Amino acid sequence: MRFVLTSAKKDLKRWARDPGAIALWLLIPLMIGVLITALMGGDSGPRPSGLLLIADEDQSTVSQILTGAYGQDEIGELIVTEQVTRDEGRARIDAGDGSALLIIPAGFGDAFLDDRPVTLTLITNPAQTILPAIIEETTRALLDAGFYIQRIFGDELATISALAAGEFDIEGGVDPAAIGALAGGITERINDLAPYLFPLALDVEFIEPEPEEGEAPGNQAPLALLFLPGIVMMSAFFAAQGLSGDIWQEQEQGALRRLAVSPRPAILAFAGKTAAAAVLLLAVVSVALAIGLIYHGLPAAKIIPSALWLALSGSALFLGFAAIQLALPSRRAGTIVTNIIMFPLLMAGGSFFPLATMPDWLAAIGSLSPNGFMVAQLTEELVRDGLFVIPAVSWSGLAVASVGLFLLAGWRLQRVARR
Amino acid sequence: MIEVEGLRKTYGDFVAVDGIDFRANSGQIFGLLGPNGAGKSTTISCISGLLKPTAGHVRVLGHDVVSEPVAARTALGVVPQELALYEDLPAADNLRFWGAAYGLSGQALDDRVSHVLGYIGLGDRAKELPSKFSGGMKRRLNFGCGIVHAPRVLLLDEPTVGVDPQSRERLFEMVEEQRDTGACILYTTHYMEEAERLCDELAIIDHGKLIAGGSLDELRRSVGERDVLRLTGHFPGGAAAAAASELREQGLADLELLHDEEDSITLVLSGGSAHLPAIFAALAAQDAVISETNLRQPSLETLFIKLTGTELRS
Repeated sequence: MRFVLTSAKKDLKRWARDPGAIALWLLIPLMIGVLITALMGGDSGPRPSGLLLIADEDQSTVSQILTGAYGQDEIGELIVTEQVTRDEGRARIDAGDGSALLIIPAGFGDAFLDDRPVTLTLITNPAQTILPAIIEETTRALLDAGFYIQRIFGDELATISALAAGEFDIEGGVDPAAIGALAGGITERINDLAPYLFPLALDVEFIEPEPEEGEAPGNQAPLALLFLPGIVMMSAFFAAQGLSGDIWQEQEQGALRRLAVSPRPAILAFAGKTAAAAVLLLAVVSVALAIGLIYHGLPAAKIIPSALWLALSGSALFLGFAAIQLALPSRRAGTIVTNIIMFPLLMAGGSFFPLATMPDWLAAIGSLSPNGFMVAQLTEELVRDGLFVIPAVSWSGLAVASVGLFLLAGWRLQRVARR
Repeated sequence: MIEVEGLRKTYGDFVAVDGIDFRANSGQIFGLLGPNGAGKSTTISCISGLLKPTAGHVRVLGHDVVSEPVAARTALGVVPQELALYEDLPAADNLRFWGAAYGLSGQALDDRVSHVLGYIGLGDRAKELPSKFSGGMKRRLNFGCGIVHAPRVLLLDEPTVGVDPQSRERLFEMVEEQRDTGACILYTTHYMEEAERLCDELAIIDHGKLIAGGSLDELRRSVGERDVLRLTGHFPGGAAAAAASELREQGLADLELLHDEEDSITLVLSGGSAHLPAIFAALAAQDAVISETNLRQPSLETLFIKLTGTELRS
């Protein structure tokens, strides 16, 4: 046991002399993470908004109510409106300036009040996809609202139209009887609707759907958060692959051969190396996790189970890579083969794109990969409430696999040391 | 001590070592000589436990290297021909690790590391990385790693390859000091002068077999007082033998043709320099063409040439 510790200390001292490599294991995944999060819009910061150009040729009260509706509440955060003329609006849309152009023709207000057909024209910017679609849906919703207002208050709207046309004018102003009738009609309609409006005769029940069988965990988590487990796993992956190559360094320096003639079995030194790798992995993933947890505002205590899981996962990957390296004849072959294995696994295992965002068939393949399993478990730990969410069977399964890989790699090491 | 009995190592049909016997005693430097491919490294590997013998026995301090590997290896210190160091670990930590690999710990380990650092002349460079050392310093550290656990048996496999003269001299002194402490040292080298200076006893291996053995004086006596004359050029088939026969008839009774090939021959005779004109004339009469002449006084090297027909460094 003492020699295992001595061996671990020796390797940690050696690796600490190469801080550049350790920094790269952290920085490359973090850079990829920052880029991906930025592309996905992240969790905070200003939301993108669409510019709706409005050519209001009607300039009526109704048209102003319609254009004002685009600036209401949450819709107003998504859509910015700007009044333009028809020609100016077309020119700007053609130039790609704006998400859509809404043309409200003259007579729109009268037609609405009189319940006559009228056409609104919405021209969308083909260079954009999401924002014009939002504007289109919002416009449809507003027109639907107008339709129902017309259905409910049709008579009153006709009276308003007549009032505006001066049909109820008498000497000295508008006929108070007409105003009274209008007010009475509106009150009557509201009274009719009151049982349904105050409160709303709707019972909304929010039911969170059960995750479908085989569905990747955390589908309901914020998208940017779903990237975190894969990115941190990428750090562990890079570190594990890099550390596994250290076996060749020892072999080239003659240390393995000297070890092979010592009374201590080489597998003890390998146990020390594995322990050192686990410690270094724990340090690397703890830093990466801390950055991720702070960014996403997750509880700091999550770092303990998550870092331990990642250290165990990284150690298993280290042992797997070591077994592969030791089965190959040279450092060059080991580096090439482990790289060939690593990048497809990173892709399929959810390090570049979360399993939850992948097509089902690809996610199914990815979840079968070792790192896909590790990432899925880590995602559970990060997105669900509580600590040590990862089931004990996953911990023990990974530990057993690690022991198996350790024995395999250790056996190979004994042979390679004698070359 | 090291006892090698009937050591044989084969790889398929190829016989690398063919029934070697020798014994190296404590307080003795035992030289193992042989050209490349002679079986020297295979023998060393069998002794150190890297290779398992096909047949025969190797014992280190009485412990069989196959049946009692831990005891045998614990007694053994190895200084390999190629450097075996962690170049990215300070000198003191290298010694500390290899000491721990041989079971040292605590104060005993600290004391040995401190002692060996001073002994190999790196006391003031203990915290520096070997990657910054000169070749000679690396060799000394390589030696230090082999003796840090104070082994009673030491295997030195060509430890002076690529070492500057000053460091080589220091290494010689250290090897002799180890011998003087009672260690048994098995020393392999390509440099005959090293063997002559250091070794108390020698074994010469060629083609996997032990072809000569004994103390330096015994081996020198076996060479006799005759010189070794090696001639290079073109020697038609039978020319050298015919010339040698004629020369013997002319009075060079102790002349012996050791080695006869188309491009070189090796002769052994007394007073070689005085008889060169007669030898050249006899060979010329047989249409031989001589392009290079090499005459050596009796030495270990000439013994080696006599035994193997080739120079040690070839």
